[in-house]
Amino acid sequence: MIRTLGKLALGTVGELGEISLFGLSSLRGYAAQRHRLVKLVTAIHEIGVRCTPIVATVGLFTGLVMGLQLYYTLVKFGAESALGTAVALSLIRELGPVLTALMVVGQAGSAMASELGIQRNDEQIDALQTMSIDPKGYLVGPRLVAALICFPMLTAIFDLVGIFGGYLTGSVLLNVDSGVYWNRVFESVTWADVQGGFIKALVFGLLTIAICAYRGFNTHRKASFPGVRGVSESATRAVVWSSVGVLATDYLITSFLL
Amino acid sequence: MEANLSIRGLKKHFGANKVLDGVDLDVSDASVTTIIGKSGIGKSVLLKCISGLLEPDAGRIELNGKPMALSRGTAASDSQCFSYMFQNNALFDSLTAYDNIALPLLETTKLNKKEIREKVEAMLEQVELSDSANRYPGELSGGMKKRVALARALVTNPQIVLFDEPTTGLDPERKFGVFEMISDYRERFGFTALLVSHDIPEVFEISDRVAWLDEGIIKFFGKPEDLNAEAESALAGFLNKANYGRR
Repeated sequence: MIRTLGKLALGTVGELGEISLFGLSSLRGYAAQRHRLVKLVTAIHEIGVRCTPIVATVGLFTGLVMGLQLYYTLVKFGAESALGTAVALSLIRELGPVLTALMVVGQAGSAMASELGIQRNDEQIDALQTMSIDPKGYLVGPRLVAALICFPMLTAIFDLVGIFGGYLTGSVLLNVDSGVYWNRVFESVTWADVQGGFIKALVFGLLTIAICAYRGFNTHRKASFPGVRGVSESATRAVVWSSVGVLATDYLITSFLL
Repeated sequence: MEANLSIRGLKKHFGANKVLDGVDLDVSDASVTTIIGKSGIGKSVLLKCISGLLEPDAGRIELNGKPMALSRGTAASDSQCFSYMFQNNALFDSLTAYDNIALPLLETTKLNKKEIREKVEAMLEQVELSDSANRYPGELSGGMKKRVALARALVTNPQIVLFDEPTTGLDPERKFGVFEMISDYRERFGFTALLVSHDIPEVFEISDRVAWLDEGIIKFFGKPEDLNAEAESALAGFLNKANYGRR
């Protein structure tokens, strides 16, 4: 039992080390690439633009539900005027970065792991190497840089749409005064809250994209099966590990920020 | 463009399985050398060791008398002397035929867009694919994909081109077409070709030298016509199984 736990712990630490080195060498490889801007724009389209609709949609529904739940909790204490504060702080500090990261993992991360896995199986990654093109710098590096740019922006979109969703249920549906709602939002949110949310977004961006890319890129080494099953296993594990990573890192960062 | 490749004592094992156990091979300038052998014997592994995709456990590879680094990713692939044509072409599905061919020029040379366009268009014309420049690999036939892969392999003017079973999955007519294409382009571009093939005896038509890989070493190396003298050896048994009649 202890031996198994030890093996598991060592394996996880080893894997984290490998992912870190993979991410670093990808960024270093990207710095040496030609046409970096073109690659970056493509990656921003993949991670940022394509994920915007789903992030905004989930943000809206999260805000709507929070408005509803928090209203009925606060009204018991006669504190429904604090709805704006509760919705805004919960979204900016916690739910915004976490749910945005989980949405991007589901949309772009799984697709990336599958794409890289197929490219690995189809020898396209080997082909890059034989052409003297650094595969990590060419395929992974731009996505990591794009994640650093897109995750905070997507988080901001999620937060704004979510706060608006809270307003829709709180003020439009349940008659909390809209002036009070927005006033509480602007009064209670400080720059430190926004900064904390963005720090989380940056960390989640690097972490999730590195895990997804690592899983796809190393499909031939890490998957238990060859071929298509290996690719689907890589994609699944990429999503699971990234999601667990986001939640675990969220706890760590929150405990430092509070 | 001299390209003499010399391999000495090349070893590669995967776990307890010794795939290459001291391969010695000399590939001379502007020739076609074909490696034959049973399936799974290590022919592709040998090509991947030469190209730098796999790191050999021991041995020496020299190009024109100069030793090459053998670590993964820093060997032949970085010297730009080699090109590799993969068994399944390894074309990028999301890039057009034009972009696939232009990729190594775009990413590894300082040529401007106009120069790249001229080179790629000339190459497309050479492989008779000018009309299909904007088509994606999924829209091309097997033979056309092979030609795109060959064009991509040749566009950087490599000294040595490694072909890993270039006729896999093609019908006899198309196989012959691919061999003719390799022979024709080799004469036109002057590269040295190292081929892995199972197509015996068809491949001998274009081969200057044949190397038989068995039990991890090269057991026969010579001209295709010298194969007839091997009537009593294990090679004869292999050739008989491969339908190579006594000529």
